[in-house]
Amino acid sequence: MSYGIIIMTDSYRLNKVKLTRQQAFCIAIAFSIGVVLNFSLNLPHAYWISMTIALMFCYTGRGSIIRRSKSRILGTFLGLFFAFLFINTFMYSDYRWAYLLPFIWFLAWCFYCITNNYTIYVVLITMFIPLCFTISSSNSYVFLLNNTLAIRFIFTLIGVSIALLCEFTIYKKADLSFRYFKREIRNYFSNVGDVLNLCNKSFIHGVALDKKFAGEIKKQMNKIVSLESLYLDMAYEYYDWVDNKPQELAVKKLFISIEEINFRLRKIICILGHEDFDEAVCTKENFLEIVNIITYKYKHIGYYFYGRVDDATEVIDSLIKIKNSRLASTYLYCKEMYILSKVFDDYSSFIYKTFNETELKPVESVLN
Amino acid sequence: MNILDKIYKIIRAYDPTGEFFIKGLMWTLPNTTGALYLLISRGPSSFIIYFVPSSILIASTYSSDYKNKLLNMLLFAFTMAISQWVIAVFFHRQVILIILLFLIIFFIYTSVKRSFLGILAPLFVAIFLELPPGWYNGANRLIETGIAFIIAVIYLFLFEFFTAKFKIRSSIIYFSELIYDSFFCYTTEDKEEIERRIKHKLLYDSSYFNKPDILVENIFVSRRDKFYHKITLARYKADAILLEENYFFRKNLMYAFYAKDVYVFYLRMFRAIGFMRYYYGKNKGFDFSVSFTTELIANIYHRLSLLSNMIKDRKQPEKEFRDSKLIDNWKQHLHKFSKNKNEKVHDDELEFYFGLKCLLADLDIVREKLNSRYGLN
Repeated sequence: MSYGIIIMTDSYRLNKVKLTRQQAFCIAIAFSIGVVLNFSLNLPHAYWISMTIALMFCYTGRGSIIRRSKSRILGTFLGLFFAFLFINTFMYSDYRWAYLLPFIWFLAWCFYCITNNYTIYVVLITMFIPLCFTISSSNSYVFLLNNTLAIRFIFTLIGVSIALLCEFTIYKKADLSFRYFKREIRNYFSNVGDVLNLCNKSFIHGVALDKKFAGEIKKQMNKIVSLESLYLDMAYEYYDWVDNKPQELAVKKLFISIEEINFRLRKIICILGHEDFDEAVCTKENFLEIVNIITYKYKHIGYYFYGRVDDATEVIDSLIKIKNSRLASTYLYCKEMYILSKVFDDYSSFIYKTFNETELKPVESVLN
Repeated sequence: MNILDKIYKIIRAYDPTGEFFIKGLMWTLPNTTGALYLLISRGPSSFIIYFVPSSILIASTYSSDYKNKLLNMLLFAFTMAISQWVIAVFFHRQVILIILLFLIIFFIYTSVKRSFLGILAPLFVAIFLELPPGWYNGANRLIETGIAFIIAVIYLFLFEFFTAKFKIRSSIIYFSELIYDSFFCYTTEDKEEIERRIKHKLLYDSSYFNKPDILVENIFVSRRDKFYHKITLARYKADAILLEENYFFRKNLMYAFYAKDVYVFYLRMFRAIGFMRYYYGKNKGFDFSVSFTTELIANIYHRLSLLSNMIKDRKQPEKEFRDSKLIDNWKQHLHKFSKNKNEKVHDDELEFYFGLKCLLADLDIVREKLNSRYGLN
C-alpha cells in the first residue's frame, strides 16, 4: 500500500488526546535529556541545550520541527552575533545604550509579526536572553565574544540533535503532519456538511443565520489554515514526496476543491441573506430531500473515498435544466448545490481511482 | 509627497489595520514597565520582572472572552512560578528535579485546549535553570512572577481601553476599501486602470502578499481572483476583531456594536461581489444586455468610495450620492429583462445582475446606518 492510499482514503478518526499525550511524552523526555546534560556537563550556559529543545518543539508536527531546524541554527547564530555586538560595542562603553533596548525590541517584534518568519523569532529570543542576563547581573558581565558565541552555538547543535533524535525514535508516529492532514481533510468536509445543513434549514424556513453558524464558519477557516500548514510540513517528512506524482495531484485537487467549495458557500450565504425560498424550480419537500443528500455526502466523505457513488448530482442537474426563471433564488441556490455536489464527486472519485486499482461501486440512486 | 507620507504609506501597506503595531507594543510595554519597576525599587531581582510580563499578556490573545483571557494568563504565570520554584528548591537534588521538570513539561504539552502554553512556557523553564538556586531566591521570584502577572493584567485592560476603538475602526475602514477594490477589479476591463485606481495597490500587485497562502500561488491564474482571495484572508482577520472579540469597557462594547452593525453589511457586499466573478472571464469584455448597467456601476464606485470616506472622516459627505432615478430605471429594465425568455444570455451575466441587485440593497442599508450614526440625515 503506498502512502497515497494511506493519506487520502484511510480517513479514520484518530484519537487526538492519545496522540497529544504520546508527543508530550516525547518532548518531556527530550527536555529531560537536555537538563541531564546541563547538570552533567557542568559548563556555563549549558541551559542553552534545553532552551534549544524547547524552541524546537514550540510548534508541533514533525515536518514543522525538521523545517525549523535550519532556522533555529541560523537564527541562533545571528541572534548571538547581534547580542554580543550590542553588548560589547555599545553597552560596554556606555551603559545608557541599554535604554534603547525597548525600542529595538518593539521594532523587532513588529517586523516579526509582519513577516511571520520563524528565523526572526529565534533571532529575537536568542538576542535578548544574553542581554537580559547582562542587565540583571550585579558584576560587570562582559561576554567574551568568541568564547561564548562558539559554546552556545555548539549547544544549539546538540539541542537540535537531541530534539530530532527523540522525535524520530519515541512514539515516532505520534506527531506526523501526514496523520493530522488526513484527519483534517475529513473534518473539513464534515464541517462543510454542517454549514450546508444550517444553510438549507435557514433557506427553507426563512430564519436568520445565528451565532452557531458563525462558529461553524470559523471552524472551517481554521481547518483550511491547518491543512495548508500541514501540507507545507508534510514535504519534510517523506523524502519521496516530490517524486510522488499521484500524491501531488491529489493534494492539488484537494486545494482546488476547497477553494471552489468556499466560493460556492459564500454565494449560497449571499442568496440566503437577500432572498427567500420560492417554488420556481421544485417544491419544498423535493428541494429538502435533494439538498439533504448533498449535505450527507459531505458529512460522510469516508464512504466515497472507498468507491461509493450516487446520482445526486444528476438529480439536481435535472432540476436546473428547466430554465424558466434563472434569476429566482431557488434556481440560483440549486445551481450552487449542483456545483458543490459535482466538486465533491470529482474529488472523491479522483482519489478512489488514483489510489485503488478496482472499479467504482455501482451508482446508488439517492431518491430510493 | 513628503517622506513621512511615503513611510506612512509603506507601513499602511504592510500593517493596514495597525494590528502588528499593537502586537509590538504588547511585547514591549509590560516588559519595559517591569524594567522601570526594577530601576525604581533598586531591589535584588531576576530577569523575570522585565522579561515575563509581556509573555503573560500575549497568553491572553489566544482567547476572545475575558474569562478565558484571564485564565490563560493565570495558567501561564502559574506554570512559570511553579517551575522556577521547583528549580530553585530542588537544584541540588538533581534526580528529583529532573522528574519534576519532566512532569511539568509533560503537563504543558498534554493540554489540547491550552496548547499555547507549549509555545513559550518551556523556553522559560529552560532559562530558569541558569538562575541562582535556594529557597530564598525561589520565594523572591515567586513574588516577582506575581508582580509580572499584575503588570500583565493591568496592561490587558489598558490595551483594551486605549486600542480597541482604533483596531475596530481601522479594520472596518480597511475592509470597506477592499470592497471598493474588489468591485472595481471585477467590473473594469482595463488592467492598467485597475492598477491605477484601486486603493490597495501593493496587495494587488506584490507577490510578497501571496506567501502566507499556498492557495494563491497554486490555484488562481487571474490576478483579479488572487486579489479576491486575499481579501477573504483579510476578512477573517477583521472577523476576529469585529465579530468574535468580547470587550470589557462599555464604550468599546457600544462602539463594537455599531461597527458590527455596519460590518455585517459590508460582508454581505463582499459575498455579492462573488456573483460577478465569472462574467468578465467568460465574456472577454463588458457588454450588458440590461440598459444603464454601465452607469450604475460607475455610480456604485462613487458610492463605495464615499461610504468608506464617511467612516474615515466620521461624517456624512457633503454631496448626496445615491442616484435614485438611475437605480429605479435599472431595476425596471432588469425586471423586464428577467420576464423575457433569454435563452441566449449566459448564466454568468444573469448572476452578475443578481450580484448587483444584492449589492445595491446592502449599499442602501449601510448608507442608512452610517447616516443615522452620524446624525446628518
